[in-house]
Amino acid sequence: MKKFILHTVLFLLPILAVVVACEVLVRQIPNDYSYKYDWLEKNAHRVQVLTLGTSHALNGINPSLFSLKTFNTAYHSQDIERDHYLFMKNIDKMDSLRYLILPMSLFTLNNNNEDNQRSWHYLHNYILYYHQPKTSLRIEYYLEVYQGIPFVRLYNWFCLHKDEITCDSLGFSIDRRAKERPKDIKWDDVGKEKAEEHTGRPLNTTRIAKNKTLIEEMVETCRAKGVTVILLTTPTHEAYRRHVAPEYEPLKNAYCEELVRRYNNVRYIDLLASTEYTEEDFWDVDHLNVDIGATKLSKMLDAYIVADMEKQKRQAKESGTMDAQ
Amino acid sequence: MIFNSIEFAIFLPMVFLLYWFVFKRSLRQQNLFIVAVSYLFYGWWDWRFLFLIAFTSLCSWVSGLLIGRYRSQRRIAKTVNVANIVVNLLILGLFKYYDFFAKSFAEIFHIAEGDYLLLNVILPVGISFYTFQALSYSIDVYRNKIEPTRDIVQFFAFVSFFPQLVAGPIERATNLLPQFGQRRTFDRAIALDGMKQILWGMFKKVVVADQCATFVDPIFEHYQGQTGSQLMLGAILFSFQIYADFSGYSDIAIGTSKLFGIKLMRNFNVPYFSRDIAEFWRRWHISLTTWLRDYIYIPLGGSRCSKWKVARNTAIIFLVSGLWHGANWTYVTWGAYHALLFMPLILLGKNRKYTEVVAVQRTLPTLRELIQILSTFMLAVIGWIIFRAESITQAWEYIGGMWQWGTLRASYRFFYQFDVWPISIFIVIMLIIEWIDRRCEHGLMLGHVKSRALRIIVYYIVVGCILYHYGSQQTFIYFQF
Repeated sequence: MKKFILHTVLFLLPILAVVVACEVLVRQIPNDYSYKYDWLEKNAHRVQVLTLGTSHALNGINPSLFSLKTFNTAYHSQDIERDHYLFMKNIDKMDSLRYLILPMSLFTLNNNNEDNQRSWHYLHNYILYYHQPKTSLRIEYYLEVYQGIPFVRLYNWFCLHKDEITCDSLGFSIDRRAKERPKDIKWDDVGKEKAEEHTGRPLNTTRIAKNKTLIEEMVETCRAKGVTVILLTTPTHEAYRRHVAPEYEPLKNAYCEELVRRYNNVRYIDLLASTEYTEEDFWDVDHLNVDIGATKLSKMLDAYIVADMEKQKRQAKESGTMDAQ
Repeated sequence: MIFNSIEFAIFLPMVFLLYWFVFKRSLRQQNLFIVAVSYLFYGWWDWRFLFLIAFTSLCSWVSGLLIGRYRSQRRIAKTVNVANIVVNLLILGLFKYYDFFAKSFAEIFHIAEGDYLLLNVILPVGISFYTFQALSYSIDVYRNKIEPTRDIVQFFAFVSFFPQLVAGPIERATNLLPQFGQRRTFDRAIALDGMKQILWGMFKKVVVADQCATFVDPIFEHYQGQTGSQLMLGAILFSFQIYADFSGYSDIAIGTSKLFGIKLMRNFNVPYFSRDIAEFWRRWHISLTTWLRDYIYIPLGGSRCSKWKVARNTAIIFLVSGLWHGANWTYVTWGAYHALLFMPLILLGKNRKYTEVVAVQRTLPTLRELIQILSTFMLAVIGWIIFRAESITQAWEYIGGMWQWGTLRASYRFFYQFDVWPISIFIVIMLIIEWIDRRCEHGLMLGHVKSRALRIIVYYIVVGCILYHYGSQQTFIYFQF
């Protein structure tokens, strides 16, 4: 028995050493999460406009086209709980923050990645690279190697020096260009598939209530700090809207309008069915491409923010004049 | 908890050490420990269904005692046995088949909005396996093949033994129950062999089955837009996926049992090297086919009756086998398909033509044997299409779509274009290893490799392949049964 255990341990030791070494090494590979975390640690005090949200914002909002200093902390499938964590972690350092863009897609209120079957894929990055505190028995949340030893990734970085950063210096994703869109995309098929993925689940009141609490906490924090919140629904293709479950849009609209009524620092821009965006603006049914569509949206948002700032200045001046009188 | 998870990698060594170092002095304590960890293993998935497995176990144990007590009064003993079978099959039927039959009933009788008939119950993992295993006990007690056990812990350990609890092999009481009735001694050679078998099972599951799934799932999901080559490839890859997945699980289960001094029955015996369908069914999911033979086929008369009855009995066990796999007409059709293939062999008395493994005294098969193997394999592939399809219509369209003009001509370009080379190489490696070791219990016995250093290198290569491919985890296919 002892010999068996000894031989087994001796056999497994090199394997364990390789696994541990790979875990340590793979965490050193620069990626979007670690880049955004480091950037915010150094530059949060300079940010005047912050974008949260999913890939809808990641691909749709180009900070370099804004008049104010803007940073895009959105990421693929980033849910409200992750948005909330990123915002609350950095808000105290953001002395210059004027606007928070909080994307509200159709699925935002009903989504939490911890209910997702592939949640490791999304969540472990926030724990490992954004240092989100998490108490869970799920080992996969704490390990990069949970889905296999990434020999290719290690080779790419340590031998070829190819990092995994896909965003530009202000956090905007640059990998969905108009000319790279598949030429024979079947809009209706893709729309149906995406709509089913996003709105195929029944509405979960507990999850919705929790997300609303997190959103309101962000809104109230912003109000206390004089930050304006822009709830934004990014444009979508008609092929997507045709197939979404009917209960999702009224839920989102009703909630956003309620927030606008309740909080004077909240604005709501609903571009879900905007006719300004044509097929050439889209990468697929629910994402803009990063050159044409994102440029259009970013310029529109910038103009909106500038106009809103002017309006707020005027209002502040008028209320100041009235006080004097 | 699944075998190819980090949780199991932590669970197994802890259980192993406690089993041999803490609980080895008392057999009862050791069995109780097995029950506890087995329930923990099962409850990791969903603790609510522990009550179900406990009830099934209790029911069969009590039935065994009553049958033993009323042995001289056959009528009572028979009533108890039948009652136990009915109760357990009712539970199985409720969880597994109720919604299927309710839905079919609604469709046949055109009941609009028949959803109110459905219960939408969750299917407990492994219910088909442990139910059949528990039933085999009471039936064997009734047939005087085994004495009923008064030790409830021993019996619970037999039903719930964690390596084979959720996906077999479906053990017989005559084999497994006595092993829980006697002290186990640690045998280093058997334990080492168990480790190798676990490694081989993991290789088949992680490297072959899970990688096949990444191609198979999209092909079957969007079969209508695929070319003949793609459909053919999807069908062949699924055949290897289901084999590697299920036999891989069985290898892990058997190998794990060896670590605890328990010997389980072999469940797969290189079925894709079969020369006809009868041989295929003697080598595929052996624990289920022998269960059906011993508890349904033989009681119905088996082969010792008129040809018409033999045909009837054959049809029944294949249909039951299909239905056992799941609540869908595709499984029943799959069973019927194999019944049609098997029938001529049994009616002509040629179903036991090949009992030895192919090329037993040779290195390679003859040309005739190769043709037989490939033909049998293709027949199995067609059956797997029916098995995998969501509906009979899909199966029919899939099979029809495979035989398009230009299927073979396009296949080379498709092979290269869709990066199928890596998985194809692993499938070939698996087949070569299993061919070389076709007379052995599993592929990593490596008895013919004399050099210890070379064997260790092989094991490390296998581990490396597993670690590299670990990422695209898929659940074991047979968990859904």
